[in-house]
Amino acid sequence: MATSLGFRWLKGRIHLGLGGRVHRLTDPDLDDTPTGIISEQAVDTLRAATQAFIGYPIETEHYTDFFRWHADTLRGYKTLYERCAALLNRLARERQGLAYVECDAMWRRKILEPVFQIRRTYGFLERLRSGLVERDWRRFDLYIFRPVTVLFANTDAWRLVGYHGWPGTPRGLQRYTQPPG
Amino acid sequence: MSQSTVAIVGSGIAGVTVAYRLVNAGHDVEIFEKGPNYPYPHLPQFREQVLYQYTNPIYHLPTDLQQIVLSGNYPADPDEERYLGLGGSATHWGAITPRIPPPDFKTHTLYGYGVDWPLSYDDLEPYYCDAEHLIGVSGSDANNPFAPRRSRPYPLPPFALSYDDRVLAERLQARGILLQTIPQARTRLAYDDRPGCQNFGTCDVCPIGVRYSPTHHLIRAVRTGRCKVHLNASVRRVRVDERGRAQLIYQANDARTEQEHAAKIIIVAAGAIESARLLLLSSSDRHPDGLKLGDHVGRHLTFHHNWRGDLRYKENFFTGTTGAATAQTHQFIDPPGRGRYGGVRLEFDARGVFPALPFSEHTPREVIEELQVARRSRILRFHAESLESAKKFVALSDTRDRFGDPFPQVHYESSAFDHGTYGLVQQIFDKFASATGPEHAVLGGVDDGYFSGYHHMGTCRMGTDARESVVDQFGRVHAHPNVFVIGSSNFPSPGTVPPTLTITALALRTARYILDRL
Repeated sequence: MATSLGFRWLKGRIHLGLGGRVHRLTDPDLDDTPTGIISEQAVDTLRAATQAFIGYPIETEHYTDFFRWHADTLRGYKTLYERCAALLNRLARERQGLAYVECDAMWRRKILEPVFQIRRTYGFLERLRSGLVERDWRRFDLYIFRPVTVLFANTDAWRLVGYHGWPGTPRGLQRYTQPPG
Repeated sequence: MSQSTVAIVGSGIAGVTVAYRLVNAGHDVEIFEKGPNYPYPHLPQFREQVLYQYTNPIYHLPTDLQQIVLSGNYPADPDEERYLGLGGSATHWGAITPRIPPPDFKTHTLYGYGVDWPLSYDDLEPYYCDAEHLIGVSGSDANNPFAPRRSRPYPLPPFALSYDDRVLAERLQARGILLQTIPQARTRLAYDDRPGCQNFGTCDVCPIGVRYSPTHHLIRAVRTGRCKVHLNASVRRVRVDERGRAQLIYQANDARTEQEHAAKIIIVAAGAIESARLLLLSSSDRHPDGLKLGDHVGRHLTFHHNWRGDLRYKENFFTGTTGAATAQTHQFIDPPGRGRYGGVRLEFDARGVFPALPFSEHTPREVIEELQVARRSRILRFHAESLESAKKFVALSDTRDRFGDPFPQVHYESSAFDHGTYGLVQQIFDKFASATGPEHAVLGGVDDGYFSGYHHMGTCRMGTDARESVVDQFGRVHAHPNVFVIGSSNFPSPGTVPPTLTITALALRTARYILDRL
């Protein structure tokens, strides 16, 4: 009995250890870098990237507030955001000779194509490949564009499907009793 | 050794309610809370969770201090259904506050199952009124022919039915089913230094203190200078010496040594699972100076069985315009044939049906498509009574915490009674679907489609007979007049409605009892 339990424990540790390492390959952690105030240029670039990524008309203030808070509060985000902004700007200059924010909507989306591709990787091997080969883009998806999607789902998406406000804003106690429209 | 007049284990709604009353009467109270601080009003948590999608680990205990070892076939995780921190689980609750109806206090006498409570609805009724005024309940019985009698009106007017509630209410009424507004501990208007509701809709972390949290009164108690709170302090034992003096043995979570605290009265108010665990750890079966408790501690555990029915309609209801549910029916809480199955309270959840995958996995277009479906869906919540059995209990597990004390084991298996209640739930769900005309309707499974509704009860039940119960009707341990156990752990049976108002009313009654004797 003791041997069996010991073997199960050992097997569990190996599984957990291996699983954890593989997970870090497919879904890389954030780098352990300092918090700080993110540059306004990086915020402007991320705002433009958010608009391009969402593809629907949105209010951008809560997204930029989100970026500023994360950069200022949680380790790793400031560096990640500024690296993402720098990469988007480099690609924009290479392809259009412009800063990312100066590109039109079509080019902004084209430059984000690696994110859209990563979004379409469902199988383990594809995720492993993108985690190894496109490590930065994978990080940008995990720590920027996925949270942006959730923020969109919790805010602007409500307006877009016909609600007058979204949870988290004071909506009052009259309108919810009235017919929509 | 430190000392106080009263020492309370746990800073949840039961402990805080008693503390607040005792402190206001001039007594000194010390509260021992195992978990961390949890700010109130919950604006910091609102900002982190709602605006920034951040779950702050400082508000949670690590796994070497909080765990439940689960066995049986319960399909959810009871450890995720409680909060161990300042204010306890009622800092996260839904704040739905109906009274337990009179028949639920005597199911054995009326229907031949379960055990009767050692007190009646009439005994508790004045304390229900006090509890509603203490925590600020908004409600009305005007449209509820099933509501029990009351001697005082609700302190605040009710939240009106939502637009979609009213549409469905009309269809249901045509088939003889009546919907009512829901009494809830949210301030419809400004009340007792809490503002009126502005419908942020994020009630779990209400940023302005509209939804009641026990911390509202705990802060006031501390301001008197007669209430002290020990945060991050694990109470490991309660004991009574040969002269009958009560003591707590506790240890700061980051300390190497334990400390003693003596009190005239010790009150254990740590939730049905942790209270049972502490009593089991403190039992004279394990320690010569332990508590004489009998063999009922940990037994008679009950959960509510909260089944969910998803309904999708053709028309847009714009579901989700409030944070809390606004429509319920009490029509099935005392059904014909009761005894073969339990009573059921129904509630239309405020939220729509959202996808199983998190939105982070979606594209923005998919998000829009999912919300378009969600806005024309409703969730019907079946809040069902359950019944104790030998296969529902709390015991001590073989897994130990950082101090070497066993974590609780929860064993829970649904019973034939629960399956019978599910049969009633199916009938009601079909009736609702047939009356309201959804294009799609699906009900969760009997054994895999429910959870407790965050309601854990029993384990230290009250009764008149010391051989059949742990405490008397005031929560006093039979063999130890200076040790009390309060909260939902006292419930002899779970009743058909959410327990928190009853927990508060019982705590007020215990406070009155203690005040008369101090």
